[in-house]
Parts: sequence; C-alpha cells; structure tokens
Amino acid sequence: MKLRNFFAAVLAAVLCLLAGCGAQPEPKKFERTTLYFDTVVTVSFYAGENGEELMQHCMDMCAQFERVFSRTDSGSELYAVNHRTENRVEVSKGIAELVTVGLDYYEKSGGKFDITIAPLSDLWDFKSEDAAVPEMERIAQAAAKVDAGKVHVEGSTLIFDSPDTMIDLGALVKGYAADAIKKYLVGEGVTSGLINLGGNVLAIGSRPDGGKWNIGIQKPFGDYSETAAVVKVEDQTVVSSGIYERYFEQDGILYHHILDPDTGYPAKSDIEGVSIICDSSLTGDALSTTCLALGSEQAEELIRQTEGAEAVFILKNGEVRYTDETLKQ
Amino acid sequence: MRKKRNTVIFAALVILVALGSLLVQETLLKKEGSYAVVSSGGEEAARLPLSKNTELVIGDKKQGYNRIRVEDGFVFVEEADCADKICVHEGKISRTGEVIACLPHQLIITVESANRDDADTVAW
Repeated sequence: MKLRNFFAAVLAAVLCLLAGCGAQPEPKKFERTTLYFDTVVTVSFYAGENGEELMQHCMDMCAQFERVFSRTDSGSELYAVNHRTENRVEVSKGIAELVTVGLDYYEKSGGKFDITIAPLSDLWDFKSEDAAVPEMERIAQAAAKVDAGKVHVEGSTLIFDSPDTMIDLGALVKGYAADAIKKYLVGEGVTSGLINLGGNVLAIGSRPDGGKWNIGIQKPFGDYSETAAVVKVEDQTVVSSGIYERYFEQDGILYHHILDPDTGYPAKSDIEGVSIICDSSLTGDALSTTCLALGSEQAEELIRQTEGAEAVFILKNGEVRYTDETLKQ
Repeated sequence: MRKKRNTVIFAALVILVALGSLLVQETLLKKEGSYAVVSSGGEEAARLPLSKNTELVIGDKKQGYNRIRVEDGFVFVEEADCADKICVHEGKISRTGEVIACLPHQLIITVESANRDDADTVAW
C-alpha cells in the first residue's frame, strides 16, 4: 500500500511537470523588422491581444516621421524648409522641437555639432561607393555655408539669416522617433520591449523575466559579429556614434563621416566609438555625435555636466572607458 | 501482486517518457536557438538555423537577387546584384540582434536566439 502511494505521488509530480504547471502565463511577444530612416528598424514588445494593432501604429509613426524629417524626399516638410523662398518658415511642432535641440547642442559643443552641416556632407558623400576627398577649394566653399548660428526658432517659426542654410536633422530624428514610439507603447500599457532604430536602442521597462536588458555595443571596425562591451539597462537608451559607421580610405588615411564644421574635414578625435546611456533617446542621439566630435577629454566633461547621462568610450588606442563603473558588470 | 507489477511498469513508462521529453526540451531545442531570419519586402521569407550549412537565393536575375549562405554558424550575403553591395560587404554575422540589410532589395537578415545570456540587441 505504501509503495502504491509513493508511485501515485511520483506520477502526479511527473504529470504536473509535463503540463508545465508553475509556469506563469506570459503576454505574447510582438516583433517587426523593417526599413525606415534609410536603416533597419526593429520594434519588439510584449502585449496582449491588441499587440498587432499597436505594432501597426508604431510603423505608421515611423512612416509619418519620415514624411516630415527626410531631407531627400521632395515631398517632406524638411525639404520644403530647405527649398524655402522666404527667410521665415512656419513649421510643425516636431521640426521646431528638433531644431531647438540641435541649436542647444550647437552651443554645448562650441559649434562642433551643427544641424546645418548638409552642404559639407553632400560634398563628401560618404554613402557613395566611390567616395573621395573633395577639392580643397570646394570644401572651403561648402564650409562657408555651414553655420547653425544663422538659424533661429521663434515658437513655430524658423528664421534664417542666409538663403544658403540647409537643415539636416538626421543626427536627431531616430532618437526623437524612438522616444515617441516608447511614449505611445507605455501609454498603451506595454511594460517590456525594445526599440532599435538603426542602432539606436531604447528599452521599455525590463525583460519579461524581470532582469535588465543586455545591450551589446558593436566593436569599432570589428568583424560585424564582435561586441566591445555589453551594458545592462532598464527603461533607458543606448545610442552609439562612431567613425566606423561610414568612412573611406584614401592614400592610407581614414576619412570618417563626422565632419568638423570649422575645417570642413573629418573631426580630429581620439574616440573611435562612443555609446551614451541615458533616459531620452533624443538626448542620447545628440550627445553621442557631440562627444565624438569633441574628443574624450571634453566629452567626459560634457557627460559629467549632463544629469542622468553616462557613456562608454572606445578610444583609438584600444582603451575602453566607462564614466560609471557599475555599467560594466 | 500482478496489479502492483502493472502499476510499477506503467509508472516507470510515464517517468521515462517525461524525462525523455524534458531532455529534448533542455538540450536539443535550446542549442538550436540561433537562426537567421530573412525578410524580403517586409515579409518573413525564411528562418535558417545557423547550425546547418545551407544556401538560399532570394529573388532572381530579372528583379534582383541576394545569395545568402549559412556556414559554420555564420550567415552572410555571398553575392548580390544590387548597386551598392553593402550587404555583401557587411560580412558574416552570428550574434543575436545583428543585422545585414540590403536597402535596394528591401532585404533584411537578423539573427535571433532563445539563449537568455546573449545580448538582447546591439547598439551600433
């Protein structure tokens, strides 16, 4: 009799295991990868039955931001701003907001972060397969058109001092879009998710198992499969900027896409790559490009002054520097 | 006596089946965690386990193609007829969250994994 009871107990335990009891019912994972902002966009989150609708809305938001902020699409609002006929232009809230942030970082960086860099980046054309160093004279001509000091924001009006000034918000729009998508999803009750807009990562809450998200930081110039570091975050953003993103070599010299508005040539920096960890992806976007242009000494000072922001610097000499040691783990 | 023996045999069988299925869950399924997800024009076109060497051609010579290869745990675009060839130059990827994209052909390859210790995504 005793033996039988024992078997009954074992049987019950085994059946229980098989049925997966003790497992908590989890919300379903929704994930979509697609192309927006000239790059790869992945949105993933855990939600209930309306997840598919939420996802569609996120994609619609990306499409909408593209229609506003694209510099090359002749139907976009920014295109109209850049091809203006008057020196005063009424703009939507989004453009006014991003230009304001851009001008703020122009100040903070002592002019190194410049949203009017377009004439120079068009001339260098790093996206082209046969990019080459432009003629010195043409660089000087283009550099003369670059000056964010000639743009002013008054409410929803942009005021330009020069007809040559063109605005490029590419360094900010992914961060702005990620923040907006997160705000929408959180408002819909989502508590766990990851938004990756072309390498700009923004976490919603923590992983469904309660742990922090592991965000890999790509190793500069590494084989694509190499990560230089992994940082653990909860509800924060990780935004990288690096000279490895777009570059070409000519006569043994590496020319990268972060241009110095003063010289017209790639910014001289001891940083190969920098990743910013903070709450707002827009702030992260602006800080990462600014830090790269400034070099590690001034960049570390800027991070210290920016509340709630931390950074991982990968220097050209191979050193990896953390402004907050607890990020290492 | 006989009844008892039957119970023993039945219980042993149940336990064996249970342990067997647990073993399969814990080892086989988990190891096969990494795979390349290929999407074309916004639709998922294929899911290739990185554990198995294979080749896949998306598209054709008329409308444009990418020849994708899985080899020794890596996935890469071996050949393509797009203008910029960025997808070919991106090289081999194998870690969760890594991406190869061919913008002209609307092709995206991402690596996904069920292993919880891997990076959930990569900032680049």
